[in-house]
Amino acid sequence: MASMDADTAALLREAVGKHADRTGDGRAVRSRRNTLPGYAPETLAAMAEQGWLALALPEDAGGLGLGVSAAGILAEGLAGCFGADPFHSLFLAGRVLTHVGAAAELLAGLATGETLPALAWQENPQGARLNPPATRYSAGRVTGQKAWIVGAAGATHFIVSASGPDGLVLVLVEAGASGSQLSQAFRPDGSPMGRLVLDGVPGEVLACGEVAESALRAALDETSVLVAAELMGHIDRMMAMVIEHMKTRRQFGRPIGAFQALQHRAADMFVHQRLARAVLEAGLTRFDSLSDRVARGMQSARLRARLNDTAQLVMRESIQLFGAMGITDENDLSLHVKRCLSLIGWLGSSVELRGYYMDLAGPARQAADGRI
Amino acid sequence: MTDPEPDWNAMPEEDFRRMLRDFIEAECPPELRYYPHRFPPEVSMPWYQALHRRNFIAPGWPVEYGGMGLRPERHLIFIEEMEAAGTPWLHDSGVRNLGPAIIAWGTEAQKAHYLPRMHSGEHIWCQGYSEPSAGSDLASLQCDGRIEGDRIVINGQKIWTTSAHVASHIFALIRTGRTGPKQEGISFVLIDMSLPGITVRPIENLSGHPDFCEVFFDNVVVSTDCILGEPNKGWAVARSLLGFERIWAGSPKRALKVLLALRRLMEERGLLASDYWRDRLAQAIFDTQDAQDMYSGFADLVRTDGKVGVEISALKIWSTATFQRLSELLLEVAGSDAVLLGDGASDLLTPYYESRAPTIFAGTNEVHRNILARSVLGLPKSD
Repeated sequence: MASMDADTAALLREAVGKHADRTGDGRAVRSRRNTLPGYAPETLAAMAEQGWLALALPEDAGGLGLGVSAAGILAEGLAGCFGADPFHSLFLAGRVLTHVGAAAELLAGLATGETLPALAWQENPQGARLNPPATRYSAGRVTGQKAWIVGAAGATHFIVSASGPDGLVLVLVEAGASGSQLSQAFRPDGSPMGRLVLDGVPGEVLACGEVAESALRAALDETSVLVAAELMGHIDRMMAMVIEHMKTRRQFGRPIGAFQALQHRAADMFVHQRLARAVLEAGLTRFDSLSDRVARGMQSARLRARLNDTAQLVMRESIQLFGAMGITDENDLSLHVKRCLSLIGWLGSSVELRGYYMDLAGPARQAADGRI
Repeated sequence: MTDPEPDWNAMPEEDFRRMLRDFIEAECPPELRYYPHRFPPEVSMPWYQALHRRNFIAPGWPVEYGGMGLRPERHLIFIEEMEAAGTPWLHDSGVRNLGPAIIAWGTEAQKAHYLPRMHSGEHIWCQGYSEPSAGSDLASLQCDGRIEGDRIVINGQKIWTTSAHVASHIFALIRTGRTGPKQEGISFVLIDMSLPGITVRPIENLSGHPDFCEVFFDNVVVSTDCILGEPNKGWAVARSLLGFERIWAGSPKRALKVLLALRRLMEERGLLASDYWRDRLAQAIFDTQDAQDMYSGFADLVRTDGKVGVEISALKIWSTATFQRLSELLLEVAGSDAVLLGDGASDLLTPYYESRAPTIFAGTNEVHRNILARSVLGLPKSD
């Protein structure tokens, strides 16, 4: 993947900022809760039109060939719309397809938003370790169950991971194919997550064995970084809201932000916000140039765990500092809180990520020697 | 110097590390390694002078002054290699703190006089800031300096002065003016400690070592040439140096050292077969490596902007708190060994003791929280 120059980064930041100003409407977000597909059709169209869906696709398939660092800028900015959907799920599917070298027309459709693939990989709530799936593939057909599928609503295809005769297989299945059954559950922010039951559904093999495994692992690691970037966007916005509140809300005859006990809580929030920012910036800068798959996994896990934990802390403290206003749905703080709750457990909770990191670090790696 | 030095920043990382390892192997006597306290200067001086001869004593200084001109990431690697090989702590407040300030504020004469002597270890410096009534509220300091023509007569006291009992020189904040706000009227003075009228009394710290001291000044006379920067404008010099000091205070190197000990101990005891201890170690690794990311980011800012912004307080708070957490985790891992006094390198309590001071010096972490609340977050003045 090409590394991104400063001009491209600035352009992306500006574009996503404008998009968020235009579409970051709390009322509209609330009205779409618990509906399908959970995002406005205009949002998808805008993402396709601005080239965001093609961002990380290979250039020979009509993509821009940019990396996670570029996509991270968008994901962070999309927090201004209270959520990045359907950006993450299409990025995830697109990366899997890129890594397996999928057919150009499939990728071209993804770039324009006409083809909407969703990755169906997870079978277990503790998904960070990629154990062999219980879903089976044999003689051209897939049988099994997948859940926690983001982007399942409105998907045109599913990329299903399954155990085949020679290890892991990634299979492309058409949405609505006979023998498949899709149902939906909703996340705290009201966005849907799909559950897919497959009973002898015909599918086309995209990759198998080592290629499939490393493609899946790489795409999950990359998308986890994207989720971390979106969390950063929410952290910054929650912080800005709560600091503003501390300056304007008066009790005991003065702004509550004048009380040192509260100032020190806010200062500690800032310490974590600043730490998360540093970890994200450093991680995004180096991520695309890490060629070693193990190093990328370790970087992704560490970065994501920091952002998960910081988001939890900032959510908790923001609600507390807002007082009763912090526990109302009406306060737009709630939109960030619920979105973070929808993201934090997806693609690895912090404790799982630490386990994944230690697996990768292994005895051969000097995990504690300060190098990554 | 004969051969021109290579560009240390451009050298491949592995070559750079190997070069340092070879150097340490050749020059640092084994009996000086892995000692958890500071040796008296005469004991560690052979190593100090080896670093001086090779121009490795001031890795952050520009090359023209005998530094290595290392960029932050390289500097961290330098520190890592020194730590990994257990090289001894030095009395190096001069090259570490004062040197950059003299390079920034000093006259040509001051640079020519002081820089080579601190580089060679002929001068050992300590920092005289705190006073009995001026700790966190440093600017209220009272140690008196009466300017009489081209000399200053100093009377008063400093306290918590690290290494004063072994130092040859002290850089001190002295009150030379008593009108205007308390930050004005302070001069930054470079003082030879062999002058008549200076008395040093060591103070034993928690770990039983005389690490810091009281310093008394009784009619001590120095030349006004010893003022760094303008007379009465020493606060600005001190602040710029506090910037360097905060970068230093926020360095994750101390936490990194405990992390290495933690991992070693967990491996020795076979604890890493347990998910629980693996998770605790992973948390410690993340907290430390994340601190490194933040440190490198700030160090880069210093390189590009030449100054440390107020946000640096966040780094100081995080790194010092991480150091404490890790030192406490080490005691948990040690189990009953934690309640035995060891000696030398096996002393598990040392990191515990050593990690108490950093949340207090270079501005207590509470003062840094005040700074963040007011100067970064813009919260209203508290009263």
